[in-house]
Amino acid sequence: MDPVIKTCGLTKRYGKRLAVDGLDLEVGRGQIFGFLGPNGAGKSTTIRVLLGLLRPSGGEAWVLGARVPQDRLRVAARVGALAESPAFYDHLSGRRNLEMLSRLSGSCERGRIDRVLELVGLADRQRDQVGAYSHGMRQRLGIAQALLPKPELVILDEPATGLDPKGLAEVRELMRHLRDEEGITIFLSSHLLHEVELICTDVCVVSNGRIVKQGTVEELLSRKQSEVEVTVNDPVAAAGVAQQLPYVSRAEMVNGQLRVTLTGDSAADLNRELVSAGLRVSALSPARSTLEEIYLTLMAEQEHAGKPAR
Amino acid sequence: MLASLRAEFAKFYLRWNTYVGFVLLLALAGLLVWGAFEQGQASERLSKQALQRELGDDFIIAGKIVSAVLVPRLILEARLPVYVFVASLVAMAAGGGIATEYSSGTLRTLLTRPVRRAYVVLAKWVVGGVHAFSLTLFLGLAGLGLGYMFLGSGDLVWVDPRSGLQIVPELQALRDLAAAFALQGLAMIAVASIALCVSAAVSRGATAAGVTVSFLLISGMVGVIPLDAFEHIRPYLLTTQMARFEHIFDNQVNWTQIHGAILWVAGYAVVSLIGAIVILSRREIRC
Repeated sequence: MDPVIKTCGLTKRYGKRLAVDGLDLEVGRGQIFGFLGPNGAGKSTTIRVLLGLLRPSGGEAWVLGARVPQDRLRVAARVGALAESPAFYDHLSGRRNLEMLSRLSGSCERGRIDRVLELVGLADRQRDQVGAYSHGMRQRLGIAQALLPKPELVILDEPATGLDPKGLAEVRELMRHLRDEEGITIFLSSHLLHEVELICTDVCVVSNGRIVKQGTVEELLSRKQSEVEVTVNDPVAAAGVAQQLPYVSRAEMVNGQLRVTLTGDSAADLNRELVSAGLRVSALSPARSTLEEIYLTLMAEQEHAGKPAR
Repeated sequence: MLASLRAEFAKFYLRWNTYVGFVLLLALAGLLVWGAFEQGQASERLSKQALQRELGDDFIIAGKIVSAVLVPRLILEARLPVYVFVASLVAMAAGGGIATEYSSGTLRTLLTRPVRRAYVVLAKWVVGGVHAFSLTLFLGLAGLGLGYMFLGSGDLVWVDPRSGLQIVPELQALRDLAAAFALQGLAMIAVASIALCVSAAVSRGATAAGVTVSFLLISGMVGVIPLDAFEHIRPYLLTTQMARFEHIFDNQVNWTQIHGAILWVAGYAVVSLIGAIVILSRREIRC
């Protein structure tokens, strides 16, 4: 199946500064794709290029099979977008803002505005001026306008910024609903790594305009295949035993749990040795890092290497 | 295009500060009428004396010389109300058209929808033009309306340096004034177009308005400073063409000159509009 988003060697330069450096990105249909990276990594610039707001300095980009920025209108008709902080006409009500944008979107079903306002939980405040909205409400309205044209793809730049925990959970649910019930592909950039871990199926980490890591969330989280977590009756003694073994490079306590780094596929050998030492092993499972740990490790590697690694 | 137009009208006319200009113009017209009304007979007497001085003893001035139609005529003659005041209001409104939306991020929101950038500019141009034209007409109508309320009706008595004493029947004066304000309205559309063009290139509405007003002031200065070097460019200045619209009050109207000025002003508007479309179409949306 054709990718929903594809970039080949995408480059964007602002004067002498290289914001996006040969980005090769591929987002498949039905994914909730997390686009991660530190400030200034090139996330927003990439999104703006995908939306046809910026012209690439080099390389090519396709969205839903259409080239951007050349086919921007075709793309915009099928894509909902929230590019950075949501900007609306403060003197107009939330509903009137949506009505205006809906007309610009061309065909928009009757009742669609009610539906999206309901989805983002703004139905009760739709008649209020946007100027009186809180940041979280603006964010919700931003998501609502992105959903107006019944898009095939939604591109959201930091959609969760400013939302309270309840709002975060609602947005998370909304994303899942959009993908599962409405078949929408979602491409989102975020700094909230925990949220990304919870809702995204795939992620791409960028730094200095280049891809550092791309894959499914599962792949990324099980990156440290050689790490195992051991649930044992005496973790301290177990750590002592493990440290003596030639195929163990490290044994340490992490959050009260013994985490052992193996040099090869020797989890069964470790289990046997621990049992032989009279310890009662009740579980031995591959260590699962959080996305935040992975992300921070990747960023530290980047900083240490001084240049992006592919 | 229709959707863009509806959106622009909604944005523009549902904003309270759109009406500030109209209120200020009403205040200006009121001020002029108040001046005439307060001075009452004194004003009339002085005017008669002035006329007497101008015309000599061969004339006997009798009857009413201060009437409603005099107020809009004064507004046009003073030039500043239209050339500076209305032009500044127009430049501020049209200058914010793209620049303010760019810096606030609403242009970004707008352009993520399937709308052509040219349509965005065209819609803003139409709204800016309607605003410019209506502001100019409003100033004339406000002066006339308040004039009728406080000064009453009557023929237009006017001493023109070019054509001497003019006593224009009221109906004819109203027709001339309507034409003159319409032509000045057209000139203000050109001013709005220039402001929109600058607005497409900058990030602040105030900058666009400032550049536009400066352009008008410089153009006006070049038009009056008596230097030979300026002679060649004088005919092409917007302010020169705007001033030609005053000839609508001549006894023998030189329509060729008026039509030429209309073409020049329309040319300024169209070139600025095309400039705005080209600039915005090429502009990168970073805000």
